[in-house]
Amino acid sequence: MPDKSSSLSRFFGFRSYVATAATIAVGVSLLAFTKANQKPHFQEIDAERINIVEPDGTLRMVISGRDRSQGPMFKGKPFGYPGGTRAGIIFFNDEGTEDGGLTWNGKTVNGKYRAGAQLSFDQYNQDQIVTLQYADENGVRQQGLRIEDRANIPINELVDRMTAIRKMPNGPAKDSAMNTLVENKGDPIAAQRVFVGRDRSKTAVVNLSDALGKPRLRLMVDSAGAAKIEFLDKQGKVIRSISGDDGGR
Amino acid sequence: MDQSSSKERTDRDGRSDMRFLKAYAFATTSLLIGLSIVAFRQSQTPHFKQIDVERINVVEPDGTLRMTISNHAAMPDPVIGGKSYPLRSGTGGAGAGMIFFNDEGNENGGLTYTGRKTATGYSAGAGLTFDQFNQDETVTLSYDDENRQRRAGLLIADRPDESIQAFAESAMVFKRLPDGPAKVQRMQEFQANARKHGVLGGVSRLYVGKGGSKESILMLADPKGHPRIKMTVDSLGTAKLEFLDAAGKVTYELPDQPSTAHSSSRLH
Repeated sequence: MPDKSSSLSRFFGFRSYVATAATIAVGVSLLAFTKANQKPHFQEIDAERINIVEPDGTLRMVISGRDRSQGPMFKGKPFGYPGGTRAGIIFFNDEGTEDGGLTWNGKTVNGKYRAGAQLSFDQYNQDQIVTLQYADENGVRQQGLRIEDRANIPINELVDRMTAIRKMPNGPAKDSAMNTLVENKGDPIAAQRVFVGRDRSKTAVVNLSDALGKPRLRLMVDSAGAAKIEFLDKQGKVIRSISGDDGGR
Repeated sequence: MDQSSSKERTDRDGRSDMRFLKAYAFATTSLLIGLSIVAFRQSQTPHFKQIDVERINVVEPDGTLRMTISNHAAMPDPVIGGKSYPLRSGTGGAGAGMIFFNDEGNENGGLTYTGRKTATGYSAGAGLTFDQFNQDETVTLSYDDENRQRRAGLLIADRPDESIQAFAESAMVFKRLPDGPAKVQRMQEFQANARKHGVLGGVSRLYVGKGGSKESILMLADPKGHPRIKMTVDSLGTAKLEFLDAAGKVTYELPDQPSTAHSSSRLH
């Protein structure tokens, strides 16, 4: 009996002492760890960049200042140009490819300013097709909503092809290669279809364009207050014009 | 017999203790190292599943504020010329959301929203706004709703070339005056004067959306803000296109008016 009890007391005394101490240590650190993983509440935080990610780590949104901003990404891989140029929010689709953003800038250098802001939505694997924008070069400004068509060429491939052409020596071969790429056999790499806003010539305008990006119907009030509606042919010639001054005739 | 079996048991217990402790030490050490690694990696870019926050300041590495994301109570004051002015009004005055700041740290837009019961019903709205450099809103995509009186659309405005800071400075002086009719009157006079001298205000150049009378509308205006082309479909479904002169008189209208008054005036 005394043997058994001494052995038991040894068992419970020694082992349980060490085990309990270690378990408490692990438990405390586990608690601290899960506590950190619970939903923290902050009154105010400063951040240079916030990444919104899926549970598997796929990047879905970056909120940042200019210096820490994300460059373009295609299926999770950077392409085009490095980050550090766009303050605001950049969106990424389910595949980790950039698909839009809300960015802004404004800075005076040597007494001249450049400012702007834009919300843009990108075509799948391509560039922006819906853009709400303000762009200002020291007082020469444009504001409005722009809708574009984009070709069915993935943007990373397009950037590679353009970069290759830009490296060619200047001359007819280079120009022809660039034209072929831009025109893309009648499916231009970019064609503006709609613009609603105020352009650089201070004209309030609604422009509806054809699939090649040529304006065909235009409602405008220019900087002098002249109001007219114009129909244009594909060469840009006005074929019918309506205004208030001539009673529409 | 008792003694030897007791010693055997003691040895066996001792060896068993050692095995247990070795295994235990290994397990706990591994766990602690693992946790430390995860915790350390987290400290490089902290990872949260979800956070609750009243305000986030997005800043450049040098501390320049570029954006706030916040509730209503923690909305920042407008910053003009590097200085804060407690003068927020409009949707931003009641709302929560995001305020944007340019490379120089001055406010240049926002994305805000509000919706609440009022004494007479409710007030709701949301807006994405881009400000002209050192000025006020030049692009506004918004929804405004006062007791079901709704407007929703895109507005493009021209703003003065002068900075809005001089106006903000003066507005602060008036804000400090004792409340009363004198203050209201002086404020109104000041605002009218500021408008006249082109430091406050702006003119609508284009609006596309739906108006307060349930009409859908496209309006284009001249640089003085006079509507010169209007396309509307009103709440009854009547569609028209109008050209207007600077005084607001309709000079041409489509479809052509079948009324005798109109056609007789044409004959002259």
